[in-house]
Amino acid sequence: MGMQINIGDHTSSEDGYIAFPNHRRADVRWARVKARWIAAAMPSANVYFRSLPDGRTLSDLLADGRIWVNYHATMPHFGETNRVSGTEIAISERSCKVGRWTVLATLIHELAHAAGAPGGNDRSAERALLACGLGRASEDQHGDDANTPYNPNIQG
Amino acid sequence: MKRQARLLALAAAMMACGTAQACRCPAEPGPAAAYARAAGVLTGEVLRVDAGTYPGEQQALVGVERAWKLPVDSEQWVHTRTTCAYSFTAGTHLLLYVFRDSQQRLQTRVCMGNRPLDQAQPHLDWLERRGKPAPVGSR
Repeated sequence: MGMQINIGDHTSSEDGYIAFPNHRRADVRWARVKARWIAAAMPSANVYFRSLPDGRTLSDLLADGRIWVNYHATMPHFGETNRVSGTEIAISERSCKVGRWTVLATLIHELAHAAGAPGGNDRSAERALLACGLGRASEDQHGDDANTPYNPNIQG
Repeated sequence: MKRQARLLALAAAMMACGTAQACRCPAEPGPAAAYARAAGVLTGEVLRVDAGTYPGEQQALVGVERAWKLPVDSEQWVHTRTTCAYSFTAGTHLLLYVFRDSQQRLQTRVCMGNRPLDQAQPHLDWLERRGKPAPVGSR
C-alpha cells in the first residue's frame, strides 16, 4: 500500500480536506501514476527529494501509506499540506479545474513539504518540479514559461 | 548598448515587482475575486501573535477597525495554519480576507488577498463601492 487518495475511506484531521468527488478521481489517479513513473525513470527526482530535510526519496513518499491526498472544494490556492513533514495533503478544485498537469505539479510540490521542505520564503518545494522534469531551470532567469507546470514565482 | 542596458533594467524591475507567493497560489486575486471567495473582510491592527503547535501556525488578535460581509468582534482572533499559513507581525495594520472553519474560528491563508493596509488602496476603494459593511461588535 502506498500513498493514498481519499475517495471516502478517510477522515482527515484538517478542515475541508475531503474525498475526491467521482469526476475528479481520474485526474488525481493519473497524477499518482505519473509521479510513480517519474520516481522510477528520473533519478534526479529521488536525488532531489533525498536532499530535503527529512532525507526521504520521492519513491519513499509514494510508498508511504500514511500519506493521504485529499480534495478541497473551496480553498483559493492549488494545494497545501497540513504542516511541514505532514501527512495530510489537499489538492483544490481550482487545481483540478486547470487540469491534470497542475494536479501533478501540486502533488509533487506538496510531497516536497511532506519531505520537510519549509514554507515561507524557501523555494525548495517548488524546485522539486525541476528535478521531476516539470519545468526548466532557465525559467528562473527568464520568467515563467506557461507551457510548463513549474512556476519560478512560487515560494513556500 | 544603451538599449541593452535599458532592457536589463526593465527585466530587473519586472523581477523585483514579480509577485513572490508563499504558496502554490494562482494569480493574486483582485478585490472582487478575493471578496467573493472570503466569508468576511476586515481591516485592523495586529495586537498580539501567538505561535501554534507547528511551525507557521499562528493566531493573531486583531483590533478591528472596519469589517465587511461578516460581523466580527472589535478584538478578533484570526487563525492561520498549514504550509499556506499567513505570517502575522504584531503592530502591523492589515487588510484580511477570512473564512470560518468547522469550529467557527476565523481563518486566513496567504493566497486570499491579504496585504498591509498601506498597500491595499485598490481593495479598499472596491470595498467602499461594492462591499457590504458589517458591524464591529464590542468584546
